[in-house]
Amino acid sequence: MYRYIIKRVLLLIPILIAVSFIVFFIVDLAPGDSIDAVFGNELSTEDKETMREEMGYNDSLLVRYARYIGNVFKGDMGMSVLFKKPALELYLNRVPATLKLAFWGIFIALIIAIPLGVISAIHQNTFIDTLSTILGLLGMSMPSFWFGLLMIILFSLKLGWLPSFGNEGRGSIIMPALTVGVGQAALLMRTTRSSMLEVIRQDYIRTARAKGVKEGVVIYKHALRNALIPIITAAGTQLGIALGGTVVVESVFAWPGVGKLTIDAFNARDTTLVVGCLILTTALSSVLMMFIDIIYAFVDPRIKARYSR
Amino acid sequence: MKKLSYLFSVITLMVTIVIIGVLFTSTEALAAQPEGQNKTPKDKIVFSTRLDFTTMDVTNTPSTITKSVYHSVYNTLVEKDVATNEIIPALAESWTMDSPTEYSFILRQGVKFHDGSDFTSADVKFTYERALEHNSSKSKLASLASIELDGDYALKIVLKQPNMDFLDIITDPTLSILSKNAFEALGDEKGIQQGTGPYKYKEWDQGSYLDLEANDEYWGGKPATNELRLQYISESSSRLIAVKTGEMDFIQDPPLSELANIKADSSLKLLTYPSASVELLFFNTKQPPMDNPDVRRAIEYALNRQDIVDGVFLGNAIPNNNIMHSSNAYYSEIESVDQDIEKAKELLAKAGYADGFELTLISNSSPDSQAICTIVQAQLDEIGITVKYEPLENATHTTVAKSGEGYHMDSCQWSGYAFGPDLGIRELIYSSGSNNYAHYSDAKMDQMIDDAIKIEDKSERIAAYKAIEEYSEDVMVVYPICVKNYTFVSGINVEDIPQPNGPIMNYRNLVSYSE
Amino acid sequence: MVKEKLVLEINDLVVNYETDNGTVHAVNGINLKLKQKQSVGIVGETGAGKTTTALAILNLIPQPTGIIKNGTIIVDGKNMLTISESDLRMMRGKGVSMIFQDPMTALNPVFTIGEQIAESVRIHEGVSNKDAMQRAIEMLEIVGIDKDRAYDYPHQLSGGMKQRVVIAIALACQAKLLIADEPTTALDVTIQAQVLELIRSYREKYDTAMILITHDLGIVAETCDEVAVMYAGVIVEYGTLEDIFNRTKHPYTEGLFNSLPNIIERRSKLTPIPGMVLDPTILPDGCVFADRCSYVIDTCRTTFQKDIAVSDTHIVRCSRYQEPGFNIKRMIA
Ligand SMILES: Nc1ncnc2c1ncn2[C@@H]1O[C@H](COP(=O)(O)OP(=O)(O)OP(=O)(O)O)[C@@H](O)[C@H]1O
Ligand SMILES: [Mg+2]
Repeated sequence: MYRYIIKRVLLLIPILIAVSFIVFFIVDLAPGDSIDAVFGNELSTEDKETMREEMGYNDSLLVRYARYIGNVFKGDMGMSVLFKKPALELYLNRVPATLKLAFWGIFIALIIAIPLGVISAIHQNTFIDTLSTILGLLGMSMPSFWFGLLMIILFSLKLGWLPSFGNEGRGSIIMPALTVGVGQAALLMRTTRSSMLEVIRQDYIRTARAKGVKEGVVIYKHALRNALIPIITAAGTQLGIALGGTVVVESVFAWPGVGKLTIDAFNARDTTLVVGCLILTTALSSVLMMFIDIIYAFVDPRIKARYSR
Repeated sequence: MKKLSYLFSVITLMVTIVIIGVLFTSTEALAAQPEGQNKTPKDKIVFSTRLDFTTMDVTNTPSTITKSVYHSVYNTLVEKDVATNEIIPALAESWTMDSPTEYSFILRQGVKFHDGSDFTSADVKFTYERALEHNSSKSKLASLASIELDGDYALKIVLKQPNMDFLDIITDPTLSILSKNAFEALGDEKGIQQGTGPYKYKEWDQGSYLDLEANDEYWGGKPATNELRLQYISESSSRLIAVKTGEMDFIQDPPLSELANIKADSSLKLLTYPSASVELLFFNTKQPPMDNPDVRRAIEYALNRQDIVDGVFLGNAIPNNNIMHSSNAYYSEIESVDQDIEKAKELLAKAGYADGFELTLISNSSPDSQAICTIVQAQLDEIGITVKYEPLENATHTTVAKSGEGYHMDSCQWSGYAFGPDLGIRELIYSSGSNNYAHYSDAKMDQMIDDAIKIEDKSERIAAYKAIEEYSEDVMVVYPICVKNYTFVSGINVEDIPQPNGPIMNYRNLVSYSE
Repeated sequence: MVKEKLVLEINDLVVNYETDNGTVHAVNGINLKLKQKQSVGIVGETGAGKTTTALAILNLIPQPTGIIKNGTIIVDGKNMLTISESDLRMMRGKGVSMIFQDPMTALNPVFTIGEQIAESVRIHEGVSNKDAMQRAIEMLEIVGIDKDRAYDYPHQLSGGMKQRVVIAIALACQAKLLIADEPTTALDVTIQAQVLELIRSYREKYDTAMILITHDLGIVAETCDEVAVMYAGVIVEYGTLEDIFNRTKHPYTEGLFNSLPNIIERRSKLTPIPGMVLDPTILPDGCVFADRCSYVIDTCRTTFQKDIAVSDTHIVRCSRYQEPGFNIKRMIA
């Protein structure tokens, strides 16, 4: 297991280098640079030119990239032009809120998706199946912007139960997490349903029933546990996406997550910060995927056996 | 198992129905509580604007919300009275202009920075010299030649050439006076956070909020409100809800489509001020046929400001036919042409485009600009000009507009009018102006601008700028459209938010009364 | 005459599978009675409906495709098709337990084998987790698996070991009726004998009745008292070992014997039954075996064949044996 983790971490390095280069390249392709974007008309063309020269913006892409990566290996991810703070510090400052939202979001998604998916699978092609499918699709197709605002109007404005913005205050996580969760639930529900359909046809489910095991136990212990791998995979992917930021939800609820930071940074062509955000998000997601792999091993002993080799 | 799942779906259905039900029931009855009688100021005011506070690095930002915060944390040497447009004392108690290039200042005594250090003339010298070291601020002090200290509380500033806007320029919050001692004692990062203003920094959670707390020792008297929180809520609908729920004391920029509802809501106050920026259309004179004055004039005849004000801003803007902002002391009323489609067609025919032509119009990503462009498109269609409209993302827009390639017309806004008349006009229409997106180069215009900055007599100077404004209308390379309003929405217990100085909001005297 | 208590009584069982390709008539009117200690072998080609019959006894026909159209199944006095869910659960594993056909897939991959045996014990004996695990370990030892393997997962076991685990699960609660669906297919010949011996001694100890489903007539001869020969969802011939082996009456049974490799005589030439198994979605009017029968006459195809009692113990679903001059050709005696 340890060797497996070390292998994964080492594998991360080339991935991060590739990601950083691609991002560097793409941000470079976009017209405009941070000096124009941040200072707009505040500065004369000459002053901006001097700044560019000073900041090395006029060097070729490769030179700038090499310099950047060199610094990163020295532990310096550069300064944001927009905020005049170290990119790493800005990012790390946002990580807790993002993690909180991503995990609660996926938690809610799973709480909605697993029972609905299981029920759909058990009652395949019945009214209940159709109803949960419709509910799921509704959740997926509902724009999170609209759903978020609707909830704010209901729970903050009309009922006064929850704070309408920010990540302070009691219950502030509830609405953002619900918005994220409901959006993710549909896919997870479909995954649960198809995975369960596959599993409940298996012989070992029949064996369990033949032993006289209660139906609920058959479904939630014998079947669900086997159906979990694809569900975890899908949930992991969703979680990974949420770690990159849920920009719309972050905007609607003024949630200080990395998504908004990344977008703000991109709009300001703050290359250092954009690349920093994306590298760190990639690293974070990779660590997460590693955890997911470890969870696999706990769920399925066959996978565990494979790791220890 | 079966029973359970049926139960589950029934519950889900019921919850859905309840939610929908509650959403559609009106709760007007809940609003509008009776106003409180005994007026005690609230301890803390929470407010939000569209943009985030970006940096504590005073010298280094163009962000207006950031500058507005500086206005509360620091003082400049002199400040501007928004009502009278006059320069008034701040850290300098008085001043004299000894010659067009020499200013003497007497400084206020007994002023302390937030870290406790005393304010002296050395701090002024330190601040200005520091500003000159930074690319992003040195152009503001480009005319500064030297600073001579005369004891702790007097100094003389010498300019390289006459600049009648000098006092206006130094009211810019990026030229806020910093403490030399604090830099030395606390280091750059902490040092720069020490101002002399009515509020001091308390906590900044980037991306979330910035907390300021009252400076009890403020030389102008302790502010009424103990704490200010600037909360970052980028989404206008969410901002509006937050002020409706009472979580916010006031907000800036609600969704325009909600203005009517806000006016009707007795628990809210709507306040508008002319904004600092003028919406503009540039004719790119590098790009034929926009080099032809008849074509430009034809387009001027085809356009209609009021339609844009009504269509885009829902009336929440003021038509402005002058490249100068109407709030600037050097603004004069000038003549311009009104919409006249026949005249427009005539001129087009004269220029050889009787059948019209196709042109490319660009804009930045501001929703206002995009809406303006749609109306311009329709208006120009009337005279046979087909407008190909390309909205650009902000950074891209700046780059393209500066290059002068690939567009005939550009729609964007300009807000450089807050610090005297020169900057606003110069950057816009001077041949080397940074915002000269018309790529207009005219020796006569340049000369007029260079002369106007040196005129000492105020009424003479006003006349000089009026001439520039009229000449600009004559050559018609920039078509000014309107000045949009800043809109504030607050709870009824919040005292009126003071009028901003150009783009700089005044948060010094915010008060809200709790019941 | 004192009527002996029946452990199992199946009356006119009909089971269909509703599939996309039509209705599969898997079981078409089966009757079967089984007394305590008695064992019956069900033999027949693949697809004959043997497993379906067995699953029907447990009321475990796969839903929603499988439908028990008709019939009653009474195990130990209880009608498996109509009793309540909880009674049914008590019957499964305790009243009747089953050794499943495919040991490779019959075990849950995410639980240890010990757990899987213990679960059954826990449900039916109401003992603590620890005691149940103890019993599971004993069961493993009985089927000849080292007790250390109790905490292994199915993927860590060989096919034969899995087969034994499946047997251990079925034997764990001393059910009154044991259904063994080809319990020895995954095993080599020596182990086969051991396993059969194991089941036999176990049955002796607990007086268990048994249905043994197999293709192997040799095993039937060694293990069972009576034999049911199934073809296309129908029991075509039923009788004691003597009846079936020595007084064969049905042409299909004959065919089965003739297609058997004969180890004793080392006869290399097999005589497979000609033709293909009936399309299970078509239910013929006449005899189900008519298409492949070498004795077929026109009436076989048109008239429904009824069970005919040859003797008290021997029933056959073919009328032709009564005709003069009809003689079944048996290659082995
Ligand atoms: N779940 C199912 N859905 C549809 N058809 C099925 C299903 N299970 C079995 N059948 C069909 O029912 C018929 C009887 O199948 P069954 O499994 O009872 O045969 P069997 O005698 O046990 O065969 P084998 O010796 O191969 O195990 C076959 O035609 C089979 O294809
Ligand atoms: Mg079978």
